[in-house]
Formats: sequence, structure tokens, C-alpha cells
Amino acid sequence: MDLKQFENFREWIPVRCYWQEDRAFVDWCFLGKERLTEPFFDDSIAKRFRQPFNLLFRHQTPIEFLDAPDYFSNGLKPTGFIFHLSRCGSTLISQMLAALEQNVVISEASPIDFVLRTPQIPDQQRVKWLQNMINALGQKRNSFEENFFIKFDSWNTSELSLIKRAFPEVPWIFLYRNPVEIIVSHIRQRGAHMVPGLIGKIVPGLSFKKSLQIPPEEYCARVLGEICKNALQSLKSGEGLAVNYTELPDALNTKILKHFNVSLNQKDREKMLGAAKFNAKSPQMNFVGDTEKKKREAGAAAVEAAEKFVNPYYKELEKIRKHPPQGI
Amino acid sequence: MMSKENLKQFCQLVLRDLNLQDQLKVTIEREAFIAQVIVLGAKSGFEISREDVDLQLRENRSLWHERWI
Repeated sequence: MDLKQFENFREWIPVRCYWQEDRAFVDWCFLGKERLTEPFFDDSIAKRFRQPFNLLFRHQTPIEFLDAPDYFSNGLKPTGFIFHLSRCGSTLISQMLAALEQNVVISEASPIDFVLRTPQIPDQQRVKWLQNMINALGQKRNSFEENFFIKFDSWNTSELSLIKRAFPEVPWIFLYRNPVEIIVSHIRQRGAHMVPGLIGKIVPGLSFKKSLQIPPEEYCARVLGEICKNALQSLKSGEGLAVNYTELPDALNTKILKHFNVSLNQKDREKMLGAAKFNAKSPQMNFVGDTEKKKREAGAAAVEAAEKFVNPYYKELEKIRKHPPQGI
Repeated sequence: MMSKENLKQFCQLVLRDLNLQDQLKVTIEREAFIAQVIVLGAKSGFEISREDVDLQLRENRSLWHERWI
């Protein structure tokens, strides 16, 4: 491919993938030297699309275009991966990390999810696409950028083995929370993975029809159980780091960054803790703990569903967190 | 019709021309941006109408939201 053509993609970022007939394509958006500081990747991109330039001019390429390692060589190597059970403080962590200019944080980016949820191509191909996509997303836009963190969508734990295959050296954490509190949060406002059928089939053996028939609390609990089960498979063998919501925000400085092999000075640590004072998903508001409120709000259905479908895994996670198996 | 085709061709040209991109990126305000597209389009040999740029921006916004969902 003509190198001059690649030059036009400096400071552009892949923002979305889609199928056109039998071929995967990537949409690109001009980002320039701007940092991605919004709670989610898609929020950052939506903000850029308010600018008329980005609305009118958009590169569209086949996904194979990313397979140019010599050209896309300015990519930061991933520093750490964040997996999570949803509604458990993962956005808090990503926002704390994004508070520092040296950190590039990609949070639940749809192009990554696209690659991970494309089962119609062989795993070897998906591994390559994932490596290329993360490399393109991590292109260094400012000289002070050093670390590169990726927070996956919670349902992406189902592809943990493929992600590890693509990036075997990258340390990762799994963040979780008391499942009753998570179920209460999703009953208030469902995440995409808690709507049957929206994110494909998450719970093996549970048909779409059955998913619609069971109480929403049970469906949420089954999804959470599946995510925990997938994470536990690797955690049990001593990979990854289990982190409970109750350990936040201090755990970022005390154990997570150590696990990611990142050392920070006191000023930066304080800056990150300062970001924790705000509501991670609505940074214009102060953070207010809601554990007790959620516990009070939990109905019998949520408690029973959590007990039956998630708590056995939750107890295993807690055991591993307190007594990490050899290998960590 | 001719203006719409001209706009399409100008958009392709801009994606290949970093100088044109640099001139257009800096204009954030919508009406000023449309005016800039018309001026730079004319300099590049493409006659483009204000209505066509405005319509294209609206269409792209709708398309963006549809794909987003």
C-alpha cells in the first residue's frame, strides 16, 4: 500500500467497525492530539462528532488496512487490561487513570468489542485483528504518553483466553462487587448485556425465549455468574488480580498499579485520588457511596437470584483475592 | 445535483490532502465551516452550494446516530 496514503491517517483513530457485504470495515475520526478523558470511548468520539469537520470527512477502510505494523509503529504497548463485572467501579478506575496525562485509557471501545464478538472468522484472524486494532487505538499522540490501559466491556471476559493469546504478557485485573448491589443497579437501568439478545448469547444453555420468560433479576444474575465463571477460569491458575469494589479507590495505588508494573510519584497518586472524589460516569457530580442504599433497595428476587446464580462464584473470587494462588 | 457530486469529490480530495484538512479542522462553528468548504472547494475547482454542505452534514449526523444504535 502507498505509504503516502498512510500519512493521511496520522492523528486519526478507528471509531467503529461494521460489515459491508462480507467484508469488515473501519470508520476513522480525526482526533488530533486530544486526549480521551470521557468516561467511555464512545462518549469521547460522540463529542468529536459535534465538530463539522468530523461529520463531513471520515476515512473508511477495510479492517486489513490496520495490518501495517511498520507504519502503525508508534503504538504504545498495553500496560494493563481491566475486566469487570459491570457497575462495580471499573469506570472509577479508568477515570482515575485518565486523570494523568501520561496515561492513555481506552474504555469499552466498540471497535474492540466488534473484533471480539465476530465469531464468523477463525480465532487466529481475530487475534491478529485484535492486536492491530489495539495498536491503532494506542498510537502515541503526545510525547508525554507512556502507559496504555484498556478497559473491556464486561461481557468480553468470555473472550479472555483469546485476549491472552493476543497479549500474553499484559497483566490484567478482574474487578467485581457484591452481586446483589450490581443486580439492583441493572434493574434500575439495564446495561446492554442485561437485555436478552442485545449482546448475542451470553449464558450458554439459556434460550432467547427462556431469557424473556424468567424474572429480570434472574437473567441479570445468570449473566453475572457467567462473567465470574469466565474470569475465575484464569484467576484460579494464578493469572490476573482479583479486586473487590470495597477496596476502591485506594486499591489502585496500593495493588493495581503494582500489578501493572507502574510506579508513580506522590503527586500523581494524589491527583488520581482527587479524581475519585467525583462520580465516574458523571464527573460534574461528586461521588456518593451507594452500597447501603442498594442493599436496602434489593428485593427478595434480587437476593435469591444472586444467592443461587452468582454467590458461589463470588465466594470463590473472594477466596482468591484474599489468598491468591501461586503464580501471582 | 452537480454541486452534490462536486461535494462528494471534494470530500475525497480533502481526505487525501493534509493541507486542506489543516485549513478545515480549525473551523469549529458550523456556518463558518460551511463557508470555508465552499471557498476551498471553489479554489480546488469544485462548485459547491451551501445547501448541499448543510444537507450532507445533517445526513451524516443521522447516519452516525443510526450506526451508533
